[in-house]
Amino acid sequence: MAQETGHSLAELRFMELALEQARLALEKLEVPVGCVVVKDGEVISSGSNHTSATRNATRHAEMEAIDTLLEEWQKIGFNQLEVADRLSECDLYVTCEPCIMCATALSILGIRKVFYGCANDKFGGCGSILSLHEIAKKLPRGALPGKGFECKGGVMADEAVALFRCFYEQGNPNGNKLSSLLPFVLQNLIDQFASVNPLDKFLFHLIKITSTPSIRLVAV
Amino acid sequence: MLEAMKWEIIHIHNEPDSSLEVHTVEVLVSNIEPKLANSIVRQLNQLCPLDNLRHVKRVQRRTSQGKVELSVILCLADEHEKDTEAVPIGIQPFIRAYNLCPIRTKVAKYPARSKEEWEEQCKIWPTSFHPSTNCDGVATLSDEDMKMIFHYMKVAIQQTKLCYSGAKVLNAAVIVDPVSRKVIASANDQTHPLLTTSEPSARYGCIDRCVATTVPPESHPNTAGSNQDTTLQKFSLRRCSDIFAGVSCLNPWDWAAQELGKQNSLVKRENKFTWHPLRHAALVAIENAAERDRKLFPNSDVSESKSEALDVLLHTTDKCPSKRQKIEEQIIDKEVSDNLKHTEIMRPYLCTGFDIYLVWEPCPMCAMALVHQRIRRIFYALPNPNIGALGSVYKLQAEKSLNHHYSVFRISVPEQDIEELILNTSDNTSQC
Repeated sequence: MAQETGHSLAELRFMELALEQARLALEKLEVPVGCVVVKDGEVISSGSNHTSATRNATRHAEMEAIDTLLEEWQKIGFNQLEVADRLSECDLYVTCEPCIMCATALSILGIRKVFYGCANDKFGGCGSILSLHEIAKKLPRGALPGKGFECKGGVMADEAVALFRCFYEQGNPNGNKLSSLLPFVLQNLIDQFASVNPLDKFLFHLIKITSTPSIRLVAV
Repeated sequence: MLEAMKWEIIHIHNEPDSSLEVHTVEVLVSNIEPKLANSIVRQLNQLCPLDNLRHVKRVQRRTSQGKVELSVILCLADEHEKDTEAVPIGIQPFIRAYNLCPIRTKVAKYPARSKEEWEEQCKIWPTSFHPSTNCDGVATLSDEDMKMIFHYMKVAIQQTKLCYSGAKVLNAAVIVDPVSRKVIASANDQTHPLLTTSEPSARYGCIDRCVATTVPPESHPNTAGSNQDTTLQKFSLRRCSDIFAGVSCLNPWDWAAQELGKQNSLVKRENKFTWHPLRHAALVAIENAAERDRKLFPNSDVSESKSEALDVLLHTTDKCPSKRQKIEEQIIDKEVSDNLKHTEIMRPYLCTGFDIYLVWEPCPMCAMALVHQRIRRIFYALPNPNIGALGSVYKLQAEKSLNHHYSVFRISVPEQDIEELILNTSDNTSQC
């Protein structure tokens, strides 16, 4: 995990756009993580966490942005080699360190460099728990080349954390309708941000059983 | 015929392969007056509960020269603090009140899993030990369970279709609800383009090529492909391991190096991609399970109105009396119970309680996806020496920091059974 203090203007600009995506997720009651894919100094794709609405916990921001990109490139008619070439010139800006799943995915895709905001000390795959950006070092001899990618963390980390806190404390900052997904949002929230504490689990079950929609209860 | 063969289930433990040396955590401790022990411990449990260290005993008791000496854990030590005796502000008054002198020491980070480990832990600081109930082990599986597990592994192996671009074998995933014993979702790898399956040459091309390149000519007098039956019989897993090159989790980086199929002969899949480097069987199965979930338990008008009710409730609790809240709650409760009666099944949270059967051990991407989706148990038949994440290269189930842990089992399937199951598939998919 690279923690550097100096960030270029371009880095800050792209991370701000990733944060914008995270804010969009927050508005939709999704976990506030966002990202943008940058090629030749331009944003070519973006995405935000979409796990609650899809009920698919693998729909992280990175996966959303990659799918948008691949769909577009396949429509144009690019074959695998052409796609691989282009991906190797892409950088990703994401507000939170990619998890083990996404870090492996980014390595499989052969992306060039990843800039992230805050570290993910529960399931970070770029140094916090495992180092999958350096997956090539772990592969046995003769295995196919996994190039790995460069990583730089700590880019506007405070802003990314502030969004998580916002999600955690307010739940619903813009007064959107609380959907029936509420228990799922809560479970997500408890799983990802609260310590593994039996009390939290108990609180969740209490909420699930009574269907009492007091998200403030959790915040307390 | 399959019952006669020896299938076995092996539990892959979720214990990290590391010693106590790495897994300790620093705490601040202090000697205390034995007379004051009760009151000190009671206060500390409130001031500084050791939430993630429940296995660690708060007090250590030693006897030196016939005198009992007690020391107590005050709190966790701050890893980043250079001053080794620095005490958190919150308990400073407490320290002063009892005139304690904190020192740093190490305790075991995780509960002991064996008596030996526990004895080792107690050498540095006492911990408690509860012999494991072994609830995840194979021993607790009933014959009925085993039968079901073997059945679904067969189903998965039969799904490793032979017919596709370059005609290689694909990984297959089957998500099963072990309570209802029903398949929730299933999928194959979709990393490579799919070819039309109508042409026999495309279907069996792999075996032809495989036999032609790996079987010595004398043992294989027939021209490859001239007689399909003989060709199929000569197919062997060991000799034809190159036909596994298309298994996504075995060779995740292979997608870009793939021979380019004729784009016009590609079969359009039901989803928007003809190929996708990340669409490994497990990920597609998760997607299918999520889709089923959305269809079975849609956010209908009922839940829409419910959400409105919730909204109202949230915005009115501040100023309105509890009477209104009570009414709202009753409405919601009724709707929830109506909904439940209607569907007769509890809507699951993601894949909580479900099992997944994979023919090959998953790569870290798939293994982590299964953590995210809260799968209960994973069964796989063949290890993944390249980049397996559940025992071969990584051991994700042993990462304590993850928010969910599944149990992992390898099903040892006799090679000839796998061959037969794979080959029968291309002829007769409806079997089993």
